[in-house]
Amino acid sequence: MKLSYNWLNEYISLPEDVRETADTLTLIGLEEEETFSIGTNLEGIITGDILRVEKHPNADRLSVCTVNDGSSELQIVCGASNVQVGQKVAIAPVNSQLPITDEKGLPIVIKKTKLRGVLSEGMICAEDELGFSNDHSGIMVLPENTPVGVPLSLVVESYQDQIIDIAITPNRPDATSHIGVARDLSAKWNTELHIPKISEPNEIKHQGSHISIHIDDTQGCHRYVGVLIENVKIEASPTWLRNRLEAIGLRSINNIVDITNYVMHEMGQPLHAFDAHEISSKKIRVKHFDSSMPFITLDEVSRDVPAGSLFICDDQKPIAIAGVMGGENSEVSEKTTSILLESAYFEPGKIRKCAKDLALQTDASYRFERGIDPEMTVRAAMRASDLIQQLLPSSRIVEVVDVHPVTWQPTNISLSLPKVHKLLGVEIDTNWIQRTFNALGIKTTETSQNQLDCDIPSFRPDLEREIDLIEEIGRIFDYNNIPSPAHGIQISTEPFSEWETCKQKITEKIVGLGYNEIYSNSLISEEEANHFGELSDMISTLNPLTKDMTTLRPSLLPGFLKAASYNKNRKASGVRFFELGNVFYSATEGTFHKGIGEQTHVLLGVSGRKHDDHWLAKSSPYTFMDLKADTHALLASLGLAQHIQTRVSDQDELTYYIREHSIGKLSKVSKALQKTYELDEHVYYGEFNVNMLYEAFINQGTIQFTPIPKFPGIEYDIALIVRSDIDAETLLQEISQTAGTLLQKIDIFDVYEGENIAQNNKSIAFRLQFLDANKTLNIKDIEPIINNVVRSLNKKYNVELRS
Amino acid sequence: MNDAVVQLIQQIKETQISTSQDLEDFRLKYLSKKGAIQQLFKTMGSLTPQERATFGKDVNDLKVLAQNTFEEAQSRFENQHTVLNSATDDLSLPPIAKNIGSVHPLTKTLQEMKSIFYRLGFNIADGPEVEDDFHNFTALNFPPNHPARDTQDTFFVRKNEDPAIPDLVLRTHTSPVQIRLMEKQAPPIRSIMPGRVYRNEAVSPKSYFLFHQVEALYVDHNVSVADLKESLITFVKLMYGSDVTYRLRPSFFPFTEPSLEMDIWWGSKESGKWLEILGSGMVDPNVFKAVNIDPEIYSGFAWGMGVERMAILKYEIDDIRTFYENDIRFLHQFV
Repeated sequence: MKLSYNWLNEYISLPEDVRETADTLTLIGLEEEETFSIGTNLEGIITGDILRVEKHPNADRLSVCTVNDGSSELQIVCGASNVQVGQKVAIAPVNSQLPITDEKGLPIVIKKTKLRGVLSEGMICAEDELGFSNDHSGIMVLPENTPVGVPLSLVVESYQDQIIDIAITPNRPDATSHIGVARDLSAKWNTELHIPKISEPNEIKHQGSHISIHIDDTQGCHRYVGVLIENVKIEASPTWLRNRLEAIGLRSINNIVDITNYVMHEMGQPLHAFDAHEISSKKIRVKHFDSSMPFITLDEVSRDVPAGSLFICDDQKPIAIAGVMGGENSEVSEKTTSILLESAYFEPGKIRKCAKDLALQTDASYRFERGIDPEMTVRAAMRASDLIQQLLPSSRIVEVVDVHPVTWQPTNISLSLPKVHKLLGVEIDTNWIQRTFNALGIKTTETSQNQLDCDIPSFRPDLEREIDLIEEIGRIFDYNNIPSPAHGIQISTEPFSEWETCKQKITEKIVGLGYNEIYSNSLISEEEANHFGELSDMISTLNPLTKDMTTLRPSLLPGFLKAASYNKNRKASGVRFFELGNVFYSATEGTFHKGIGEQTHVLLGVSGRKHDDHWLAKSSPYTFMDLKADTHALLASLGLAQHIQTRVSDQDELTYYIREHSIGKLSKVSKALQKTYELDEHVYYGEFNVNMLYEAFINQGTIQFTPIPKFPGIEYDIALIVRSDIDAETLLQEISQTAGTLLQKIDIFDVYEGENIAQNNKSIAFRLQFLDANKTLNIKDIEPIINNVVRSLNKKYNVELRS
Repeated sequence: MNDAVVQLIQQIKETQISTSQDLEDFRLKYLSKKGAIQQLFKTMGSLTPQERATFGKDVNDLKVLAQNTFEEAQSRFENQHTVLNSATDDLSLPPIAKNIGSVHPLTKTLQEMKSIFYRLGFNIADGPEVEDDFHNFTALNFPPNHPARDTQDTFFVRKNEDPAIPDLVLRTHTSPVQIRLMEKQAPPIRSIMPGRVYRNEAVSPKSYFLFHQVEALYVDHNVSVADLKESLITFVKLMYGSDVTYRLRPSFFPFTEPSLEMDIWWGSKESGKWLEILGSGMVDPNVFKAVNIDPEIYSGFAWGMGVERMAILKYEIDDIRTFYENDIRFLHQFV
């Protein structure tokens, strides 16, 4: 909300320096967003007369003008399309400085220059170049009778002001006006607040004799004040009024509309003026309709207003959308001679919904939806009437009607002073609190030594509880002034959660393996999601802003593929990525909520080349085994190696188990998916459920030292010929199970098929290491074991020893 | 001293050893089995015992001199890298580079924040990203028609008329984890809750439809605004250096009362500006009531801040979308 410094100064004496006020506003919760100056002193700018206009020889859009500046004739090149002979204009002569600055805030000095080869000795100014407005549609044309060659400041009124734009939090409807802001400042600075005198109406009628007002929807409209004023004359507003409104960015319309806007920005009460002749039968009804209603608002836009929205109607038709915008059909125009001023209280929720549905936030709806002062309706109407009578002394108030079905209930809150001290952590003087509260309009009575009885004013609907009053004290006292607590910072003996430790350890280990962490979107498009399963098994958002964010990722794979593709397109030779994040799927029971599965996963992915051509080796692509080695290193470093089993679940997929529960898999990305993401090299990834890794991680207990063996072990190599379809894992498991406890380690040192091996067979060579903690083993000790292993393999898998 | 010995001493001292051939020649001439020194030792048999003792000592000294001269020259040659055995023995050749692992800048920032909170005695908790209306809004004192509940800002996952089945949303902030924590744990509670949150907003350099927050919660007897302030100041000093300039200003959040925000001064004294870095406040009594904690007995503070915002400030990143592009040239900068 924009505040005019001159205007604000009418209600409270402000410091010279606007910065001081702006900073203070921020510190009392009315945050300054921007402060700037408007208006100009017009120094050096003079009036001129256009004598001749010729086409520029080298540029279609430019004209070459000859201008009389009172003493000589100047040649000025001008780009405006509205330039004409005989116009009186504002001229910035050579070496003069414009009242505005360039984008960098530097002054603009007019120089003698050639524009497309034609000499230009000055500038004919547009309004924006003089700081009057943002209008750059053409040059500023002065009245015909303007004297030539005189300072522009003599013929054009120039108004200077400073504007503070503040952000108002939704709990502060009282601060949406100049008086409201001045009230806060007066409480902060302990200075006097000057409120303009407002006349009391001669008589307030509840039932008018000239105008009848009826509220059908008393839930939506708590109070409606109508003031019927006759003998008005619609004309332009006087300069002071225009300056006030234009300073805060409003357009001056006419005297009546400007006054309603003025009072709204002064007091916070939105007002509306109807042309009383357009109100059929002089009857006002406040009601809503059960179906949507087409309506043309005064901005000449036809709107479809949803059912339930509150309308102001006459006895035939709607004439305004309550609290949002008036109608074209009853708008004040040049022909208007009598008006009905509306000053009402509409229920905030109702106005908010309507403004939202219409996507139409107006200065009025902005205030109504926060909750205006329900006790201000008559005063604001009278303030506007006073101003109308001041501008139009012959106008006459016919009657003031106040229909008031819902009355405001005063709130009284008891404030415990020890509680203030306890919660803010500082002792604050009771007199200071009372003084501050009174300045804020809160009446206080000291009921006992430690208790204040507080009457909340009608303009502070946000003050409902004791805690809200404590906040008011803190707000004005300034949180920056609260001293450090005497007890200092406290510490905790609680250990880090194991879940956190587990996740951190996983991250740390993977980084150690040389992977770069990525963060990918957890919302993907349906089209993309389709590649990763059935949409019906996934969780979708109901109202995404765009189609790119419809479905919650069922896996971390799409994010990795996207990142791999992004980097491939930017000529990265290879990627080595990991991500830790949540995935979502539909589940009968669900993790936290019925129907929704949400689990933390970790993904490791590689694609492209491990390294480029190098003097030591030709470039080589990542392989499945690279990823498998890293995965096993990770699992081992988490202490999980001995719990893991693997099974080849598909030609390109290896599934991992802990105690027969699948915890994840390593996989080669299919050709089809590779194509979807435009990846031309093989992609391998491993994805694991961290929640399940965590279960094993926390159950492993503390590290127990095992003595280093004193006796040397012995190695034994066997090469086996097996059918091609029997995988290594099967043989390894069989060997482990039959070799007994002396077996320490098995390696596979050769895999061979081809010459000398029968078709559909392969040879796998194993190196077995045996160790006995109590003695040195010799070959005789292990021969029986080997024979046993071979016999068993032969029996189960028809395996032969390769001779 | 024997003349031959004197002569040899003289010769050795004068020998110039400048090539490896010279060195070998020297060795053959003096130190080999057929060399001059061995020859002298062989003549010892013809000497008297007294002569033998003196002569033996002199020849031995000579031998030491020759040996030292030889070793000195040899080590001189070894230190000269003038001779290469093979082109690939060049130790200055580059190795095959290992990929250096890295955490994402958001993780890095988060790690830093976590370690600061750990010093302040805070634990770490987390909760689901798909959240119900109660935890995301109602328990946090959002009135039924609060703008934040509007479909425009919130991603809905489930919405229906049946009051028994809660609406589900993608959490719009990490504050619902506060509620979960207070539901299951009695005070004292001192925890931070980092996590991913969602806003149904158009993507631009300044905003993204998901981002990360860290929420901090402290509930105990006698927790005051002064405690909150002290924690906030300690945090920003540890995060941005002890000379950081900051200010607190009143604000509004439905779930805290009083509410305040913290700004830090960013940039030089002349051309810098205040930047909002976090929102905070004292836990609203209505929030305590929603989780059955008695606000007459306990008080607490909460605060929340954006991880992206912290990272953007820290690393001077100009476009929030950069975080989610995962360009390897970006990621490698955060090793």
